[in-house]
Amino acid sequence: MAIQGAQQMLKNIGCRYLDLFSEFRYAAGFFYRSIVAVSQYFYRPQIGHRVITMQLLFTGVEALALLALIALALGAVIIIQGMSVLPQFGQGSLIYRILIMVITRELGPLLCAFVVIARSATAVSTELGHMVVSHQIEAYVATGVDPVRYLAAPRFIGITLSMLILNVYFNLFGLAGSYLLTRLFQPIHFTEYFHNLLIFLRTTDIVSTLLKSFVFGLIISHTAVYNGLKVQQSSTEVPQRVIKAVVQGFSLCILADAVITMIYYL
Amino acid sequence: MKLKIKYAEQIVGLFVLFSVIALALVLILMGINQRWFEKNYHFYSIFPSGEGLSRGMTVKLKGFTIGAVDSIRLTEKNTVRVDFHIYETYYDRVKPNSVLQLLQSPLGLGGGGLRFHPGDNDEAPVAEESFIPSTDFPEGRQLLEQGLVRGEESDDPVAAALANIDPLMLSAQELLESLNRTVRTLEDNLTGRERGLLYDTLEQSRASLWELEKTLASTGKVTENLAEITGRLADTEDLLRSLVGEQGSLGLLLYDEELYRRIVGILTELEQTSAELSGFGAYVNAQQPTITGLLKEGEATLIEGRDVLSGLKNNPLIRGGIPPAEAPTGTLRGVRPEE
Repeated sequence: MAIQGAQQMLKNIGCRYLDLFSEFRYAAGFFYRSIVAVSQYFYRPQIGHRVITMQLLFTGVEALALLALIALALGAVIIIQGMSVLPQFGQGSLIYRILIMVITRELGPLLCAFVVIARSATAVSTELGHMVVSHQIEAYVATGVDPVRYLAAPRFIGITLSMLILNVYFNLFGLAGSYLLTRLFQPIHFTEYFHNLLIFLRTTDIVSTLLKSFVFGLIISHTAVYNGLKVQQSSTEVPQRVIKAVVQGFSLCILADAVITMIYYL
Repeated sequence: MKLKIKYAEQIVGLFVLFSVIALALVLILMGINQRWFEKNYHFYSIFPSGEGLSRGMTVKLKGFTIGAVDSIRLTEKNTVRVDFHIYETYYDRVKPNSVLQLLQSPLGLGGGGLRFHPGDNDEAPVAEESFIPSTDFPEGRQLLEQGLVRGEESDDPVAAALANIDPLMLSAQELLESLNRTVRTLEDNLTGRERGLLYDTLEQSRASLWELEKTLASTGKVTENLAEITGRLADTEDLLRSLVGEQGSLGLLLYDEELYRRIVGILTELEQTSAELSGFGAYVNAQQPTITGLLKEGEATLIEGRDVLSGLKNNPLIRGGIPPAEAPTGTLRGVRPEE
């Protein structure tokens, strides 16, 4: 009896890990198919042109206000705190390095990713999940339309492009917009501020932040689309898959951020 | 249809276009501010350590950034080679005898940099890829000391204060090392581990003492002889007989004319010698204040020497402090003491 119990336990563990491995392989395969579909999209853009536009509108334009607010507040806080503390140690110029490090290299892409996950990844997962439940995906397949090429690829492109563009805006608001906000509390010379900022800003910082945005965009779009299409038949699966998309999105973005940062400092 | 949906493409177009323009503008402004399109003149310097040096570190002249560090690498001689460039605008400041100084924040918060000191001459700028000495090596310091460089004071008060402390500490350290060497030499001489001037003096003193001991031993024998003579003198009868008799010393003196003349001659000479001695005595008496002064100075010098030796021996940094000085006893005694 005890031996049978142990065997069952081992079997369960084995099955669980085999399932995990199988799911990982399936997700990797899906990612590959999505990338192929994205590359094919550029040869025949008419397929999902409107979908991409709408995705950019919902993910990019509509998130801009929230991200601008976060960027302005963050930039202003860093400038005010830095300007009040750092000059006391004769290290006033460090404020520009800190601003670039925090807004451009680290928090910019990550906060954009969090906002996009919270707003758009959930929406995409829910939308696709409901499409599965209402057999719309089956209808696409039945009429010979590839759902990955028609549904996944435009969302991939839309979310990834939105991430890149939102990150540029986040940096603009965080670095430049916060200057205007800070002027309300503390006088800083316009020319001096922007000259120093542009001196300290390196191309590697810009490449790093754009690379992070691009990778985060891929991760978010993949987790959102994959989990949306993973819904089988019940509408109760939809919120579960949405939660999985959010959790996986956050986790993978943080992991990718750490990896890219480590590569940057190598 | 909602306005946003109706004009979705225009809105998205503006959204994308504005971000692309902003990114391009930032890159162009970065290029202008970071002088991407201007020529830089490259030089190199050698530092003893890479501590405080970093790639991209600014090279400053009078607070203006005139260049930056390109690369830092360890050479085969275990020195650090720093390759740096100077902007075209400031190339004419790179005169011969220019030196480079590494500035580090004493608080360890960064903000350091390389300070460029141009050579104090009107010659043409040095050629590109030339060596610019650093102040961390004697070559650079020599140029500064000889006044061949236009020096610049540090603008960081803490760094300036620490820069002043450094030479003081160096002097104090040198003094302590010198004292330590002196004490060690004294100790070696006293213990006989090393043969120096002091050791020779001590050896001579020891030899003199030994000679004195021998002399004292001889004096003991002389004293014994004197005692014997005194004993003999006690027997006056025999003595008178031997003196007054014809063959006695006094008899010979009374009856021998030749001897009498000789004695008179000797007495005359003695009188003359006595007169000369008297003159010499008067001269010595006249010179006595000078001799006394010399002796007094000699004694004071000896007391000071003894204090210095005590100080060295009991140096607060080495042993236990200088003992209070004793009041010197006067060497001058009156001609009529304790009258």
